Amino acid sequence: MGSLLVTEVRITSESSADGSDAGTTMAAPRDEFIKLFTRYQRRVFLYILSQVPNPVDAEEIHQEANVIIWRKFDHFELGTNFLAWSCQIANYEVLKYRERKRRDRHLFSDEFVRQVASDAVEQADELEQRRQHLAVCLSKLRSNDLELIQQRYSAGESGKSVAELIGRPINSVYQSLSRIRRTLLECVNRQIRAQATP
Amino acid sequence: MSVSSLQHEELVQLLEVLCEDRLDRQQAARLEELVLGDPEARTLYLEYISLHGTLYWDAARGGVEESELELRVSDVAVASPVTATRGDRRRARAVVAAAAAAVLLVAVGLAMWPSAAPRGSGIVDTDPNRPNRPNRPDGPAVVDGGNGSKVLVDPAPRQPASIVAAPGRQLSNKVTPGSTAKGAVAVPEITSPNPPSTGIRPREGSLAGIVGFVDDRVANGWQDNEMTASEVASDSEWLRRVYLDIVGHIPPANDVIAFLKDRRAEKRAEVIDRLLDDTDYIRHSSTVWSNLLVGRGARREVNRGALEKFLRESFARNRPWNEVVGELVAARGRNDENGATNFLLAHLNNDATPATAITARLFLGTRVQCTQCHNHPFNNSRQQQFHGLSAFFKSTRAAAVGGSEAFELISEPFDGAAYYEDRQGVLHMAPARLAGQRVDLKGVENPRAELARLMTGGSDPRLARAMVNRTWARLLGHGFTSPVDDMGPHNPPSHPEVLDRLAREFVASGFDVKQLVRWICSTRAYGLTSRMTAENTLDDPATGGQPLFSRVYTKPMSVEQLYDSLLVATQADRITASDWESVAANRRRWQSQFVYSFETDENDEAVNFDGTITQAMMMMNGPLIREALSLQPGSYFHQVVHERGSDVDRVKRLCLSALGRYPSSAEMKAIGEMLPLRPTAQARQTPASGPLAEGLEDVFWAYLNSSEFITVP
Repeated sequence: MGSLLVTEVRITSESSADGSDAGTTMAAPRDEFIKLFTRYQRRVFLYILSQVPNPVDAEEIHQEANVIIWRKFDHFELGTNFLAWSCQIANYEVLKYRERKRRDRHLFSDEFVRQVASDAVEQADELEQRRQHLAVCLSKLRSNDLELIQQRYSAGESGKSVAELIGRPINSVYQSLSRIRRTLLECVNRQIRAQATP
Repeated sequence: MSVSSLQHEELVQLLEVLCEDRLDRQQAARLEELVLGDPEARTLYLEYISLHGTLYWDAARGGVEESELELRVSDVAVASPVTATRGDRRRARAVVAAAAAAVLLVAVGLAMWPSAAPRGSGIVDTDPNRPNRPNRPDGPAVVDGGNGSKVLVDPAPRQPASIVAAPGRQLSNKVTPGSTAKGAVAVPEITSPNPPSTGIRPREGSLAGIVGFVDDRVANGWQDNEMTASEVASDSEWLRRVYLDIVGHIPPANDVIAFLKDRRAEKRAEVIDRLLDDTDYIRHSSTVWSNLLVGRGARREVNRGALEKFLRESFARNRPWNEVVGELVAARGRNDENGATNFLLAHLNNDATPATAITARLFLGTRVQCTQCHNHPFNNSRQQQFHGLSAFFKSTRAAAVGGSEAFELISEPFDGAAYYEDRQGVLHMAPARLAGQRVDLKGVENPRAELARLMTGGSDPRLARAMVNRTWARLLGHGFTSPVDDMGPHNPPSHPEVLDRLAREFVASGFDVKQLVRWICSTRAYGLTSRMTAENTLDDPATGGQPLFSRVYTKPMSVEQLYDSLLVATQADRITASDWESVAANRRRWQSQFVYSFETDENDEAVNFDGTITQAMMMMNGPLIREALSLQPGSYFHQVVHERGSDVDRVKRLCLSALGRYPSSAEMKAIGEMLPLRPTAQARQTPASGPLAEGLEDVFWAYLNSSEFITVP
């Protein structure tokens, strides 16, 4: 099903590959599209991540989806819901990935993925709001905690590799990370509540 | 509620495993089950994943806002997604990050900043005509890809190590007499330069900022009084204190050894964090608060188990304090189903006078009970004030639930006022009021819900101030006011600025109780020794003066702390190996020997537990100590006697376990004279026995019965 979609795609924006035609008639909608594309990058990623909770895998899927989104950009009607449109494309990519990995590791069931995917779209705005509060909450972390969480999330790292890097027992690192993430989640909840009841 | 909060915890744990990519098949199945079974669980799942994903996403991008990116992104972004290929490790978001970077090199600010504070602020250069800032080694760069497209090289812009001063550093700074005030000023100032033109004040709310402010003000007090603070507490003193304060028992010997060995500056801060995450924090906090709320004595109407469960759940989830108080004040229903009802059920005697008085005292730091009968001679609280508050409780009743032992807390609609006679016998009507604000309760279904709303809504600062003062007092040994719950205008606080700031931050944090404890435990004052020096003998609030916090004031252990500490020191509970519930029941039985209660306006209690002879007898001869000192396998004493090691090591382990420190040389010498200690080689071969074992028993007994043992240093 997903592969069908790919063959359907018309390659449309080759000409803009070097970015030199910024002044042509295409420019206005294209600029608009770029804006939307940029603005929703993270949300599409999060949407994928809810179904494929390994960030590295999710990223790969996201990248595939991005290629399709770009190729299909003239299929998108400005003014309609860009996020929903992108998520649809992302969905096919998730399906393709799950198909490939069917025999692999511990995948979530189809039912689970369907359910969280639909919830994720519904709650996209709330989740986006939480992300803004997260910035505030990060600034409230103790410097050690902030450093640890940054190390953990820098490219290619995992709790395990960070533990090796800083020479702490792996379980203690898992514990610290867990504590920090819980703290952040709590803090975000608090911020949201504080906003709701001024 | 209990079921869902248990599941909440289980789900969070599974999500944590998921975030670290360690979920096995079984766990995955359980996670699915939980998530599919409950919409709230689904929301939590999404919130967690989105937190995880956002951290992942933002970490590699240095926290640049999308809204900033999209302004100037077009030039570069067009090229890139098309050139993206399957094997490209630097993924599409690198495109965005680098695209942004090419145009708007994120300036000085971000690189200097601990993460999030200045995000979305005006420090981004959006002018495309301006040349890029000089390349910094950590800045992203645009490189010519060779085929006409631009390849974006993302050097994984990491945040530099934060420059916020680690609180651990302040704590471990050796304070030399004479340099105190200066040191305290220096610490907060290195936290950060001001962010350029953002209007955001990052130090507000940050640990280093708050602690720095408090340290500063407290040190000013020393200076003003020409006083030098005591030295920083030794590691063993500090560890014992922080364990007793946060988790309610002394540190196990192994923790002491590990802590003493640890040479890192941040170790104290780490212990604070670890203890706040310990389940014993939950247990200890619940114990402290259930004692404050309903006392230790038993009452027919009170289901203590249910109340403690309510509190445990609240502290486990670190629920905002205003929410918890709101629920306690507004609670209705059966006391076995809604644990929060038990607070008021304990105080409805005497026409609910205790309910009014204790609510005001505990949660608002205001004493109103004397004004029940007369206007206060010194402060402007009036009879009207007391009765205005009591009006909220007038329609609250306790009703026995037929066919069970449960009670029900009910509120009935009423005319919304309390009636009282003044001393001349004139009858007055007091309409419900709080902090001078009249409230119309006519026909209101639950007047206490109204009260809860007013108390906890944030417009009345007393809720936060009362909690800050009480927490400070619990940790430092003395509050900003004395008594701690009498904070009216007639009784000004010793450190008004500190109290104000902490209260403000507490509100801003969303009434985060753990944060409050963390702030206070991270202050310099909390890290000082409780020993007086020649220079600060005058700082002794026990004699009536204002506290200066130039040392920590010692506290006696509570009965619960003592009991739990005895268990930690002796591992006596491992002999009788029992579950949590029966341990708690044993503890209650044990402590009931010490507690007497009175039915007064405040339902006072006397705890006959103050180092008196009664207590000493109880300690020395009670079955608890007998069991602890027995040589039954499982007890700590048994281990010490049987472990491999010299006899001196055995004595050391006993001292570590009881007092959290190594024996002093004087102690060691005295013990050496009394006990037939053996040569090391022989001691390593055979366990202690006979007179030696008895001698060791005496040593341990002496340590456990010392006044050092029952004191929180």
